[in-house]
Amino acid sequence: MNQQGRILGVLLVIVGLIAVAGLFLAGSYNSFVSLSQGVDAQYAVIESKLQRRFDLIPNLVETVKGHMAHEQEVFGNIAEARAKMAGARTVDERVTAGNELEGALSRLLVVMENYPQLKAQESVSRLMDELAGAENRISVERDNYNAIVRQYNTRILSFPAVLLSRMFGYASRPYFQAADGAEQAPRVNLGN
Amino acid sequence: MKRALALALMVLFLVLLPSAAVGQVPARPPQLTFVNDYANLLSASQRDALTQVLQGIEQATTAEMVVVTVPDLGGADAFTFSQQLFTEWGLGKKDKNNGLLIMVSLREREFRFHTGYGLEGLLPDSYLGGLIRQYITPAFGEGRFYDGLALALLSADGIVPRLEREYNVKIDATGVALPGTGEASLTNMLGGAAFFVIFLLLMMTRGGRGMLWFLLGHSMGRSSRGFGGNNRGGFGGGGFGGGRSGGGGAGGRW
Repeated sequence: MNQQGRILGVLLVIVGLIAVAGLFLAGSYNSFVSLSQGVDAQYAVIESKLQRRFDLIPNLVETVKGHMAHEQEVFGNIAEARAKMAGARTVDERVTAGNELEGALSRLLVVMENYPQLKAQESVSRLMDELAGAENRISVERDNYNAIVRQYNTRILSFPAVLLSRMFGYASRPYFQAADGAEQAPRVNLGN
Repeated sequence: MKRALALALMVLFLVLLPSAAVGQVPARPPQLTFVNDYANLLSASQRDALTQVLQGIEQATTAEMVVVTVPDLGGADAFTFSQQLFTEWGLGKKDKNNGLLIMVSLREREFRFHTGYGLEGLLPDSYLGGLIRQYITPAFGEGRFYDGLALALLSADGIVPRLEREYNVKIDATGVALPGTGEASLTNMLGGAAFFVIFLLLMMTRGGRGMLWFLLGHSMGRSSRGFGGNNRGGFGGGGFGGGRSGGGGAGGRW
C-alpha cells in the first residue's frame, strides 16, 4: 500500500514534468514560428518597396532622356542593370543586380545636376519626389526588418530556447545591409 | 568558446543599437496639439487659425495632421528627424495610421510633409512635393510661414479640398482667411468695404434688419448641423496617437 502510493507519486511527478516540458516546448516552438513568419513578412515588405523604386526608373529615364542626348553611357548602364535585374534567379543575383542598378541610378542623378533646366521641370521634380520617397520607405522598412530579425535572433539564441531552436532547425537570420555606397547614393536634393 | 563570445558580443551590440538615436526630437505632448510652434514662427492668432483648420480635419476625417516647427534638427537630416518624431508621437489613429506631420526646421531651412501609412494613397509624395514647390517654398522664402502653410492646406488644389472630395465631408475652416497675393488681398479689401457700405445702407431700412436676423439664424443653424454629425470627441478625447509611418512624404528647402 505504502509502496503503491510511492509509485503513484513518482508517476504523477513524471507526468507533471512531461506536461511542463511539453508546454515549454510548445510555447517556444510557437514563438519561433511566429517570429520567423514576422521576419518573412517584413522581408516581403522590403521587396515590394525595392520594386517600387525600380518601377520608377523607366519613367525617369523616359522623361529625361530627350534632354540628355550626350549621356548615353548612363542610360546604357541603367538598361543593362535593369536587364540583369529581370533575369536574376537567385537572391544573390538579385542583390548584385539591384546594387548595380542603384549605382547606375545615382550616377544619373549626379549627371542631372548639370541640367538645371531639367530639374526645373515639374514632371521631373515629381518623379524625384517619388524616387526620394521610395528611398526613404526602403530605409524605414529595412530598419523595421532588422528590428524584427534582432528580436528573432535574440529569441532563438538565448538559453534555454537555443537548445530547441537547434533541434527544430531555426537558424539565426542575417541582417539587411545597405548596399555599398547606398547611404550616400541617391540623395535627391530638391533645394532651389 | 570564442564563437560563443563573439555571439554574445553581437547580441549585446544589437541590443544597444537602437539607443544610438540621431537627433533629439521634441517630447510628445500629453494631448494632441495641432500646432506645436517650438521655433516661434507664428503669431498667436495664426496658431489659432491653423489649429482650427487642423482640428476641423481631425473632426471630419479622424486624420491627425500636426504642425511642428523646431529651431534646428540637432544634426539629423530632415527625413530621419521627421520619421523619429512621427514614430515617437504616434500621429494618426492606431488602426488607420492616418497621420501627417508638417515639419519646419528654421536653421536648416528644411520643410517636410511626412505621411503615415494610411495617407500615402491620398497624399502621394509627388503631390506633396508639388505643394511645397508651389506654396511653401515661395512664401517661406519671404518669411511668410503662416501663408505658406495656409495656402498648402486651403488652396483649391490644397490638402483640405482634397480631403473633402475623398471623404465626401465638409471641413470647417470658416473664418480662416486664405492668404493671397498682394493684388488679391486688395480686391478682397475693396470687396469687403463695398459689402460693409451696402450692409450699412440695408441696416437703415426696416426690411434690411429683418434680413439680417434671417441670415444670422440661417448660417448658425447650418454650422451647428455640420458640427454635430462629425464630432467624435476630437481634442484629446478620441485617443491620440498610435499611428505609424513608413517614411512617405516629401521635403524641400526654402
